[in-house]
Amino acid sequence: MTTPQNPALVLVDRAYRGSVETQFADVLYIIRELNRQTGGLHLALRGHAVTYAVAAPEYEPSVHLGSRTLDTLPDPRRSVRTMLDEGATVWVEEADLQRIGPKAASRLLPGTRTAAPGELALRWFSYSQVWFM
Amino acid sequence: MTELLLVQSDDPAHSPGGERFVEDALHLAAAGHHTSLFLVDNAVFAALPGALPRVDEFLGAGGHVLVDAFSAQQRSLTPDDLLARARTVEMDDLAARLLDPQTKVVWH
Amino acid sequence: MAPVPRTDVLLAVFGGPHRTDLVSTTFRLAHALLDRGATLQVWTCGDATGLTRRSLGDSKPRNVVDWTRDHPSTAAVARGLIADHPGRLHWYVCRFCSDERGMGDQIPEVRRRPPFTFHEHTQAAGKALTLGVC
Repeated sequence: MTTPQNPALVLVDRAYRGSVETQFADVLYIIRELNRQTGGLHLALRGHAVTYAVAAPEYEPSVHLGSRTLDTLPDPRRSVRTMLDEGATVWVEEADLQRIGPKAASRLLPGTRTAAPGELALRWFSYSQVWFM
Repeated sequence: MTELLLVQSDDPAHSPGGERFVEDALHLAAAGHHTSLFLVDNAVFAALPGALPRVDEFLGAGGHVLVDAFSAQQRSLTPDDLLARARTVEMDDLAARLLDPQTKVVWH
Repeated sequence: MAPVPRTDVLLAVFGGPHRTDLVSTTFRLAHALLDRGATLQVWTCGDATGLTRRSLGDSKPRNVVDWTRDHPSTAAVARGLIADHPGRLHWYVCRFCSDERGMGDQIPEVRRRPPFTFHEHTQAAGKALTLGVC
């Protein structure tokens, strides 16, 4: 049974799965809703998805397509900040953070925790659910 | 929960996320947990000798490698083609483990 | 809204068809679980919601070199599994995902559910797995 004392762990290891067709309805949207439904979950970001928790000062979630300005593209950092504010615990895996270099790694969103290799896996028994999404 | 069953569906040798998942299995086995890696769909290729060193390490750490028979057959692989310590099983085996209250299952 | 039945397992299928063998494996696993007498929920999200859309009909387009042979659609396969195991297989389709993909018209044997009920469905299962990603 998933409770705030026995939370679910959701891992995301595939990133950038569609922008124009996805807009607000990306995987973080689902996970934010699950965070609300479950009373607080843990989100672990791996691979390229660690960049969801790295500030992107030059990114505007907007493109011009013909006469249309589509300004509703996914904004994963905003989603992660919101989830942190709403009580989710957000992890990034250190190995993947190191891969993007020290400058980018220094922009890790405040409140995000880092996990050493294997650290989270060794805790899987303590989570009510372990889901890759 | 006393056992962990990790189900991998992509070929981890061609999927960074898949290889990381096998590393998770390795960490768990190395820590002494009874851990099985069930390879289904394209992940059965990871049971070929030399395909992925992490799988050999996992076996060396006490892990168990199970290979979905149908996936292997569909991909022209026979048990003789695979690692000697990999065990080919039917989908019914996965179902049984999934229904076992002592087994925690994680699917990747 | 109908209450969520308690089941042994929930398979949440997030990945879509025609990319990997995820759908086939889901069907095979469902069959194996049901064969063992288990009760099962299948919840589809993302492109997987299309597996049971009504517009698929009962059959795939004909094979021009094997004209008289029927090739069932995934909707027909799902319908058959549900019929073979009355009261034990419950198939749900995420309403948001199916609407988002223009696949809201589903076969009558499945039920569309709002995404905010997903947690409730997982809590009604002894074990819940997520298969594939959207």
